[in-house]
Amino acid sequence: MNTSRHYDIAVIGGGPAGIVAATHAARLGRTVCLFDRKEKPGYPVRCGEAIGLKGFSSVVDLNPAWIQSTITSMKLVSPAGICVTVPNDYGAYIIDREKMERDITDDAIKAGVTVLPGISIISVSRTSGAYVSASRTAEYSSGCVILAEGVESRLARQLGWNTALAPGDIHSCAFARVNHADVIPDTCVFYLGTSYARGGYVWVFHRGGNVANVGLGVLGSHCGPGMPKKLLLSFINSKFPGALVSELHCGGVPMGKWIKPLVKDGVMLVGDAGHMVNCVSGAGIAYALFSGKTAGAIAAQSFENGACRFEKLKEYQRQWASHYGRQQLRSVSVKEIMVGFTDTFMDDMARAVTKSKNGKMNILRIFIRAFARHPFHLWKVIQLLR
Amino acid sequence: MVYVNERACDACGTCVGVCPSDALVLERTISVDSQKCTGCGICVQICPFGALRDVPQETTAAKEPHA
Repeated sequence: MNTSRHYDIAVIGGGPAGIVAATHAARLGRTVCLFDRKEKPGYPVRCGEAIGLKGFSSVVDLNPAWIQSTITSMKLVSPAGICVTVPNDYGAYIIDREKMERDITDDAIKAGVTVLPGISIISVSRTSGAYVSASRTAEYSSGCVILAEGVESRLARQLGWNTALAPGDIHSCAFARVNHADVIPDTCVFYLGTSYARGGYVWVFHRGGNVANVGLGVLGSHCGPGMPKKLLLSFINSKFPGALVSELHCGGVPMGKWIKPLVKDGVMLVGDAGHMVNCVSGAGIAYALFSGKTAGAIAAQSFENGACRFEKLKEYQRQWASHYGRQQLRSVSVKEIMVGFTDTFMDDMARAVTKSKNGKMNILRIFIRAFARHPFHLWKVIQLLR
Repeated sequence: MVYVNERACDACGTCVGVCPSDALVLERTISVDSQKCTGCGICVQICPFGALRDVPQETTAAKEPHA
């Protein structure tokens, strides 16, 4: 087994969280290596590629060359097919994640990060004074470790975390790129209801031209072998018959509370590995970028005379908790209520919204109409707001 | 014990994320640690592409002498 040179910081996982963490640490003068098990990190893209400008651009400058479409409206389709369209005034885009990851990886290299693709780290252990990340053939030592492994979050378990997701805390997803004339431009469409995806929904995000990213997530506790793929293909067949389908891939999205603690001794969890996903929207990029940037910078600043002062790393969790942590926990509570919504409730809700006068959506009136028939949901919402 | 159909596997890691006994490792594809696998079947249920199959312990044992 070869032991290569020692790095200040090892980052495991070359998704957005890992890349940004490595870049920020390197910019502050640390020696950083970044591992990804794939030869070509960032491919295939397992993502709907939707981003909100505010959260995204607070970490990474949005390069206009990445933008595939600008989202100007959101459309919700209820189980019975009642449509609610809401204009979207917040800057939202569908971006080319492959391009983005290539560019931010270049930035990492320019910042001095040693990027090591095609290396699977299968264990991380602590020795006196250093952490050792080992692949099947080599060992890499570092002062601290940032785990950005994504939904697997397996190495964290070797270091004492319980990151195994319960079936009710994960979406099993399938997605594809669809080319069809019926794709609605500049719109994100969400199809709700148990017939589409139990405990989840189908999404169709316009990606320029006649192309859309189409995907769905089924709550793990409602999932069966291969169910997401089957449901996705039958959805595409019925809504976009004869469509050109490419990039059919799958993935898992954490749908539970972010992991506490995020820091143990010299190890930090970022992005999906820390279960940092908004459980209502399924969005994870902004959280991943923020956590990566924060963890990378704090790790770099925790070095004194070449050694990492572990107690200083805890500042990362404090910053995450106050910036996005509470919002994420709220999204878990809302998700848990939404999982209980019946198809008839969602239809009644959609009817109440469409009946309200155009442009004057009186939230109170919508709630009275919808909840009058479903007092149980009202009870749950009251509990949430308490 | 769990059997992986490598042709159906997309190497997404979802099964690794739910495995309660840390029996699955993803490198180029999924490998199963038979010592750790308890046969709970959560990974089989969760796989979006249906690439995992539960193989009863007796069947595996019965096959081995002839393998």
